[in-house]
Amino acid sequence: MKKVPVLKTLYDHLSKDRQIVGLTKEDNRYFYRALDSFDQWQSNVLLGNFSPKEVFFPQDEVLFYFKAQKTILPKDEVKPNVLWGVRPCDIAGIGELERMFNQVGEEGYKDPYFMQRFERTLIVGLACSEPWPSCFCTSVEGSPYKSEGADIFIYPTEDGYLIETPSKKGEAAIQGLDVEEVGDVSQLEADRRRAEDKIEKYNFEGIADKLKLMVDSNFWDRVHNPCIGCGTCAFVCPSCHCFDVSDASRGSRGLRSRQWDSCLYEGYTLETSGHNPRPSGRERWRQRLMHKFSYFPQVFGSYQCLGCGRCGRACPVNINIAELAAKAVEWEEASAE
Amino acid sequence: MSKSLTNSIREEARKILQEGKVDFVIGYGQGDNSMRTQPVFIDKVEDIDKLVWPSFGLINLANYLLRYRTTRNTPHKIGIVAKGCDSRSIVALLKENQIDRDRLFIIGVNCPGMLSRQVAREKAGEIVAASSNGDKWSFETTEGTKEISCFDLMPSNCVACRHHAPVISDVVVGDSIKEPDVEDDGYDSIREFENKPAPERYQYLMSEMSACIRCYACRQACPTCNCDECFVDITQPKWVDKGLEPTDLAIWQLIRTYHQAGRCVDCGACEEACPMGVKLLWLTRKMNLVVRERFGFEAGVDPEALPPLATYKKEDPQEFIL
Repeated sequence: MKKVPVLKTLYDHLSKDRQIVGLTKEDNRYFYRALDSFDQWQSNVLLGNFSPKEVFFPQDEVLFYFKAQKTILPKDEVKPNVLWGVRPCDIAGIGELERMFNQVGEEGYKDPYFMQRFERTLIVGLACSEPWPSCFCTSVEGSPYKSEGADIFIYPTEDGYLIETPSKKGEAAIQGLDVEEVGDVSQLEADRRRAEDKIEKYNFEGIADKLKLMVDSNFWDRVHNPCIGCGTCAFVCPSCHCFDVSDASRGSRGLRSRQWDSCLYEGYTLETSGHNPRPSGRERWRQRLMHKFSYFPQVFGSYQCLGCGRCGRACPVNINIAELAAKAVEWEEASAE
Repeated sequence: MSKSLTNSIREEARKILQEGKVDFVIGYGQGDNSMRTQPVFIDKVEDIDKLVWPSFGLINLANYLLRYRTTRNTPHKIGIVAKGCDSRSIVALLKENQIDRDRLFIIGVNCPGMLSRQVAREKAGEIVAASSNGDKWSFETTEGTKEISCFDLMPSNCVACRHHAPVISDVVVGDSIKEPDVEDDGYDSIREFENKPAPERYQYLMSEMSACIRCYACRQACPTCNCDECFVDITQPKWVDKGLEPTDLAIWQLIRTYHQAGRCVDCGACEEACPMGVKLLWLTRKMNLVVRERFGFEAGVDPEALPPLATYKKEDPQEFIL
């Protein structure tokens, strides 16, 4: 592994010919935005209000413009980017988005808007030596020290930063960087364990299969009760990818765009006839939990929840999806009245 | 969390559940940590200890009554914990024939005021953990530890509150609280803001509105935002474009505010629910001040008074009509 005494060295190296995108502060809000300088980066904040999802899949995005019978694609303005200082849960979130928007096989859906940004982005990850109380990545096959999915991954140590390059793209990007080669990295294992021990562990064992049998369960009758049906959890989630499409036109010209949507909105499944197959929070929460912990694992082999804990933090009524999922695992139908 | 209010609420809730007066009680419950509150629906006496009186409880529980509104013909008899503003929302909903009084049992609380997570975030920064120590809260943030007094954590609407006591209830808990002098109507901060030059006000409000992400948490948290279909969700005709253009965001917030004219009870639930910390109360409180000055009306205070938009008087001020 390689080592640098200060992170700015790596930052300066990468920013020579690339635009760096990292966590910045706007009033009291934290977002992934283009950084003008290393000092602008909010290194202490693990999670922004939004995840880096919006870098690849913005909340509001023009798909094309139209004028009479002609359609015009939006100009491709993305410069080669570096996504800087992304935490392992958010890296996993980008992976889940890729599973959805860059599906394997000829039949698999490829989203050109997502792909044009994803393909030219170098992901620089950063280990979390001090996880937050809301974190639960270790319960969903994650770890605060997991480098998988990153091109370059940084481990903070007592006297500098160890740099790993899990991808060829990452290895090429650090060519020419002045580094010290380090042979013995056994300390990392202890650091990893120390960080993981700080994270609350939930038991989700067998949840995908368990939920399959719970479609008609009484479990759903109550769990949704506090939910007020806003879109906050889905918007802040690194892996929620549902969107709605809308047109805006004046006369014969206009544009078609897409915006993030949420399965907890009443209007999400509202049909033209007025019928709504998910008429209450009961059905909507069943969908949300099933999608993340049953359907997605069945189709793609991994949870669609990365344990970042943003949803519970941002939720106006503090609904903790990890607690709900753990409750589902323990649920016995007989315990219902 | 106040122990004595918690105990009194539990006691009253236990009584009405045991006596079969209600099917369940809607109240406040403990969230993930001492700064978080999650509403609970208690239908068994064994679960009564899940009820608490929170410190950070800027959630208007009357909001949940909309699930049992009159037109839905639900059979439930509902107990509800109501602080001053929640009780005003109940009055407002009764006036609009949204809910049935005879299916409600209201446990009114003399509310000493709530603390706000938004204010805490604004003053302390990104909070990782929090603990309270009497009159002070200690926040562990990404920029170090910060201590803030309870008073400094109150939101503008609680500081200005003139209705700590419930206006409608079947039983009241908590010691009565002396309401501030009537001469001081609590809108000084709004008047101060009004006195700023227009470009400054415009710039400030537009920068707040631009931070909106249209998650609609404000609408969903509000008991009086209860249209069957919100104008912003209607697509035929489409009143507002769906994206994040600042003008669309401002229109969404302005129309939401107008729809609350004579109906907003200043509970602050919208602002507290906002995941982006947008200062929504500037708009609603300004409108409440206009309604008060022109029509002498405060929403949900007098169960008999007709709301200004539901009535007409010859002497209504109308100099603003062009």
